[in-house]
Amino acid sequence: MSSTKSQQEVPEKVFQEFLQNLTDAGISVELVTRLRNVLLVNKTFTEIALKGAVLGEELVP
Amino acid sequence: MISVESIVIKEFRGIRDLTLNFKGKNFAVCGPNGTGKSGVVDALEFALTGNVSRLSGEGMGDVSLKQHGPHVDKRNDPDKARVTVKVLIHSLGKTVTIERNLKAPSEVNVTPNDPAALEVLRQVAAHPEVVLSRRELIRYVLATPGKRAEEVQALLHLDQVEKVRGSLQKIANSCDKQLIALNTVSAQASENLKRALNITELTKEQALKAVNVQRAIIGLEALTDLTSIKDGMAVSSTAKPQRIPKAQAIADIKAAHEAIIEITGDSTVMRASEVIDDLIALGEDPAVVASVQRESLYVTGIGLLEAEACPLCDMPWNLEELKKRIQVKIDHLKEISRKRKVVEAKIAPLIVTIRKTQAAISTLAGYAPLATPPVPVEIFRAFNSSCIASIERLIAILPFAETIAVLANVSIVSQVVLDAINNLEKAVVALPESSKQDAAREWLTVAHERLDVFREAVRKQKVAKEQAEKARQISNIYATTSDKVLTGIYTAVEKDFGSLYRFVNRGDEDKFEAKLIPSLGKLGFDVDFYGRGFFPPGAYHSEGHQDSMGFCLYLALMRYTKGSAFTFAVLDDVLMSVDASHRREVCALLKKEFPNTQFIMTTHDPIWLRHMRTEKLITGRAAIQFRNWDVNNGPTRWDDRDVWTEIDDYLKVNDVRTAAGLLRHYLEYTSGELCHRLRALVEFRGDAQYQLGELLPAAIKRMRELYKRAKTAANSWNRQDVVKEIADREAKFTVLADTSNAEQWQVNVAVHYNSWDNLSKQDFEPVVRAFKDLLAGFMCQDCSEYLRVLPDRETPELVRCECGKTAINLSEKKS
Repeated sequence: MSSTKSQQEVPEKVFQEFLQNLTDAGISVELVTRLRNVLLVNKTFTEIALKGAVLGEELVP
Repeated sequence: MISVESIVIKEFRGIRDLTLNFKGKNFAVCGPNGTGKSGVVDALEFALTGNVSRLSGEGMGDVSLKQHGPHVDKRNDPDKARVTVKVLIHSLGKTVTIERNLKAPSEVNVTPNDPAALEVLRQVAAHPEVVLSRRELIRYVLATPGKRAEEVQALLHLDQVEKVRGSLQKIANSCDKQLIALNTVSAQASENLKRALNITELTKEQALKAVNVQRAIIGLEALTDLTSIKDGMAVSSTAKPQRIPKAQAIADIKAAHEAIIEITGDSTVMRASEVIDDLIALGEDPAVVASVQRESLYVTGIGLLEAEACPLCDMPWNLEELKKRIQVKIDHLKEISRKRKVVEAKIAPLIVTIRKTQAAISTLAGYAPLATPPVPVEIFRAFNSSCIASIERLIAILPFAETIAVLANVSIVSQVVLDAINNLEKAVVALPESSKQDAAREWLTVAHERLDVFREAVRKQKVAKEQAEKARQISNIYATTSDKVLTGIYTAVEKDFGSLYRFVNRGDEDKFEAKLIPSLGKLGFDVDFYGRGFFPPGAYHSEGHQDSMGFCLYLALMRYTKGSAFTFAVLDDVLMSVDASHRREVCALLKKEFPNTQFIMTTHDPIWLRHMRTEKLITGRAAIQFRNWDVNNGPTRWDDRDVWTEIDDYLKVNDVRTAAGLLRHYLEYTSGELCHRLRALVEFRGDAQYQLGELLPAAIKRMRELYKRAKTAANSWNRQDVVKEIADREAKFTVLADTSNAEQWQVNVAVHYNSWDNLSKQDFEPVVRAFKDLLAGFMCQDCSEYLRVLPDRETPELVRCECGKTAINLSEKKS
């Protein structure tokens, strides 16, 4: 294993790949942006924050 | 990321005042147990993270960093307990000073206060795993899979990954549940609409046909779509008293009767009875009542079973037997859980029936106050509430007794409700028939309202469906992604771990392999045992092998996690069970595989310290040896300057006895080191308890032999200048040795140093001077390091020092 691998925390790596996979799966840019903000910018991993990102401002029935 | 240049420790743990200069290089702290080595480790961790895990980990009870971190004499003065480290931040090429005190452990004073440096230090503080003790080491190897997963997850910061996974699953599940409820609401709205339209199938064609029939009665044109059923109907300008739409009310009452017939019918009674029997059967199992809590307790408990005795009562237990017994209980509870799911499947149709009845009766609540005489609407509302409570109880299922009580009454509709429905029906039937036109208007009004309700229900259902699908898709993508990344990590770590372990055990376990097996919340770890199969590390491997496994797994995890930023680690006596030959390999491993990582290592074993030196894992003065510790002064180290100053101090106060003891102790330590470095011949002792009289004369004899051999070698090369130079050195050394009289100990080891105690200060001072000079005779005059013979095995070729300025050839010219 190379010891010169650039440093990236494992969660960060998982989140980056997750967001890329969402984009590849055709999930809307808005939703991916919201999730990016929660996971990589604000780093708030609460259920409320994630729910807000997943469901957005769509009318919750 | 960083390397540590130096540390200054004041009034911290067992240390009063200690400065160590690491110079960014590997460094060893050696000393017997209780001499303050771990204090250095704690101080480093504290300075970098603001915490000391040893004082805040499991089982520390009332011990706290703030209260018990300061030296015991400064326990009420935590601001005096300070640690200052100077670190080099590689990425910034800057050196910063970090200072913390125990009055405010979380406050860090960084100089210079550079934002980029602060960010790097924040990242360092987020990785307390740079400090590794044997306690942590064993956690990676001998822990249960659940516990190991926790440890590895903590090291890799996977808790965040798992938290997000759990949250996304919860969101998807809650969206699914919401959709199920809205599906029911939508179905009920559909039934109500069909009833209002008096059609059997809710199609646009049938609905339009029914609507246009009524519209024709009041002379309205036929519609082609259902945008507004009442389109064209006159809006009354004066408020008319509300009345019951007779035909619709009769249809709704009929639907209510049908729902009541269903809920009170044999089918419902039998289903409820069947579920009651199932629940009674489950309830007869004493483990079931608190199954959820107990399953959680057992799963947690089996993960915590590590010690050989109960942590509550200290009674010894058979760990394997206990684990087996608890596993049987967990398996039993899983069987209960399976049975519970079967029961839940049987309950689901009952919930649908209750919802249907509740919806039908709720519709009647709207007619109740308009009837003559009025029917108490509270009766319908109370029934509605009762249905909702029953549904909630059936969904919760626990406690069984309450669920059984609900099931026992599920097919009973109280006479009060039945009477209220009958009274409403009588009142509705008694209503005068409306004119055809009025009836058509009422029909269209009700149909319009119910179409609106249906449309809203369908809209909500559609949104919920989209949300549920999206939430599930996102959750699934996350699960797939994280599984893939984590599997990749475990595969890479597994491979690297195997390679590191094979290096340490080369020649013995060259074909060693390991398997890290991730599963939900667990991380299995099986290792190859000499080709006989894969087993848990604790199954067949020795304690020493387990230690080196833990160490290699740690290194593999750190290398994966931090990559090139793995530049610093503190290893606190981590290889105490590993034998000498494997420790030597560990030194070689660290040097070869982690050349850019600064290791600060503690050990109680001076032999491993020697290995570190001979393998050049540490060089020069990159080590400190604590010789003892006392509560007033903290650790005392073996340091030339310190020792001679200390001896002088004792002599100044005429304490010859203590000065003599210290000299003897120091000479024993140094003589052993000299014999090792010079490869002196000493009579072997199995207990390794060598006396000064056995060591120092051997070192002197060896030094003389080496000079003799060096002169022979110089002669063979015809280097008379070198011969003369060595002869001069030899002559000086001989004077020093003779002055010390040290070799006479070979004659009677008991006489000389024991008699020191009886000497006066004036008599003892020359003795001290003689030995100080003698030891200097073994040193390089430039770097003041003791000389050593190279190589450390086979035929001696060279006597040299660390700086290389003293280099005496021992090899003769081949003729």
